[in-house]
Amino acid sequence: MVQADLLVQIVIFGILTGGVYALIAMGLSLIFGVMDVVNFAHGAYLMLAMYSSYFAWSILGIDPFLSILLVAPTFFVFGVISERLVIHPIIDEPDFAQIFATVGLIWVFENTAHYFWGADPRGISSGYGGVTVLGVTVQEVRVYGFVIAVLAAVGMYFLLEKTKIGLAIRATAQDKDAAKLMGMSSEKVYMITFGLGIGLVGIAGPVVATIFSTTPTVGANYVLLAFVVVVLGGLGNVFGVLWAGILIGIVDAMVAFYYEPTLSAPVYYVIFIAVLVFRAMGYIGEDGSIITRIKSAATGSGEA
Amino acid sequence: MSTQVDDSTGLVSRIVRTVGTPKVYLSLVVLLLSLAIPVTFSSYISHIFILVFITGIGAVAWNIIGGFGGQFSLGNAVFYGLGAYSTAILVTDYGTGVIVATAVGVFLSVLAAVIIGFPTFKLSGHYFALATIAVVEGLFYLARFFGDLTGGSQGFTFIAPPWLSSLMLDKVAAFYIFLSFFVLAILISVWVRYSRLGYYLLAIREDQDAASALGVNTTRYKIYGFVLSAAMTAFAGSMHAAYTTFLSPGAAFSLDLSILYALIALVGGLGTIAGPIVGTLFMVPIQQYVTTVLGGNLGSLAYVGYGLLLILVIIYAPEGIVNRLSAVGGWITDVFPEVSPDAED
Repeated sequence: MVQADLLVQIVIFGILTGGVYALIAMGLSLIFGVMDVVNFAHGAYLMLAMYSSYFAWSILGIDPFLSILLVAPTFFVFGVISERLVIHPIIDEPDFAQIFATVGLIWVFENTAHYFWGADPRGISSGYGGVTVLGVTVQEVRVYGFVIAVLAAVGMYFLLEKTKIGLAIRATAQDKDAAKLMGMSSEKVYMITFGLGIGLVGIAGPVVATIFSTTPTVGANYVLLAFVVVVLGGLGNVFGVLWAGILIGIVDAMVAFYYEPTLSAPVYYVIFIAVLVFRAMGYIGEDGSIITRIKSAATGSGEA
Repeated sequence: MSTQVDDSTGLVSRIVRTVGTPKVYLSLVVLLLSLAIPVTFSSYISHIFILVFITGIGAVAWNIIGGFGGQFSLGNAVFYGLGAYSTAILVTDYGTGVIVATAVGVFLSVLAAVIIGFPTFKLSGHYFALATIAVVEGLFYLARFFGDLTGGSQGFTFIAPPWLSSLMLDKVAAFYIFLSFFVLAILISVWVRYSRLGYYLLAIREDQDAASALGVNTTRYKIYGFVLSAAMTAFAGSMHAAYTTFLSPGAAFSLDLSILYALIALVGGLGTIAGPIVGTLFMVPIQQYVTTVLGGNLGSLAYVGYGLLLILVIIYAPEGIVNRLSAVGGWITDVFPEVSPDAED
């Protein structure tokens, strides 16, 4: 028996959590979409960003949400440096080189964190309480996290659509060689893209750290989830990622509530593989996400 | 070297040509010398070698689909887990014979390989790797969910029949048993490499569209390679369950294990016969040392170094030990006659 008010509660909870999932996935989507680099270390970067905001809070007493102003720019620089040192040398190598280089980064990051900060989980008690949204009481941090996710998506949209560097990024993503001929340095674009992607992780980290506790291996929980969201939402498509994140958030919450929390991961992995396979078989547009596909089908303008 | 292989006529002449090289006699000598290891060194050394052999079977198996076929599966731990759990559960809870239980595990893995392979082999590169990761992670959660069967996150203790457990406790006997399994796996790998399946897999790796245009049913041969790889990995899983007698979802359906298989082949030399062998001998002892001897904080520091090393290897020596150290590598590839992965043949 599905009770309506309970369902509303679960859906709202799912939407809020899903926004945070989308925020985690945005940087991954940008890097994957523009550079065709699968950054397995995405979760490990997130973990470092979580620790950064944790220490900003516990040592300096900075509010976790305010710490974004500090963490995000730092992670932009961090991203640029890692692109130079690790990604740039292997960008034209076969796929497996990227997988292993980024797996190497995971080991370096996780074990560095373990060496310095141990395995104990750390949580931020930020002093935020509960808030009522549409008659449902949820944690304030989840609401702020969701708002930040939406703001980040809007910000990324304007950056990509309305600025010169955004144009260069989109051009490089579409055709690297043509963009090069037009005088855009793909090296520079890649550097900035990776920086932006990791900068987005710098926004996500503090948000996640307010909701969940931080351990050296916490990133592993999020990296595959982020890939699921990216594949559902479309590469480099910020709003697609937002919708997909929310969708996964709702699925996650529903399965966890009505069925069993352990099963939500297998359920979205099944969705993930199904989307991948359908896309590979050409049922979904080359660049379009499953959401744009559904939308175009609804308006009757869909292509075969 | 390629022409020498191409004009092979019959199985017999091929075997004669392969076995007939002096270097192969030398490798047989190495094999014979290795027989002395368990009686010469401590049982701890034998234990390490046993782990090398078990992991090595998985790495050799991975290399068939990942190295020869270029299909970068990060899901091979699924087969390891299926083999380990089916054997342990059937023997412990249902009193099935060990051999039958192992066969069931292998069969289930073959079935899983077909089910996973059919849809995912349509995916290219990154996406195939990602899909296979999702399968491992999904099964990890399922193994935890079906706790009644698998023991959940508490783990599962494999109660082997007395003859088996006493055999496994005797490190000398276990050493010889696992060595022979490892040698068998290597022989299968050599056979695959010079069979029709092997040539098709290499062709698919080099250029799938071209192979398809020449009439190779690429999906079918990828499935064959995957099935073989799965069966061998499931066997390794069964054997490991019998040896260590304890299973947990995290250790059986482990993404780290999947990555380790691929990593071993990569460090040794991707797509070569000797690569996974050399890679296992190199990597497993290091890993054992780091996790069991160092442990704790020093261990995590060692893993930082391990990660850095991996990144450096990828950037500066992605061709692996076998191909990189050309003096040693040339010798090894002569021992196991091999066409280097970038040879245009």
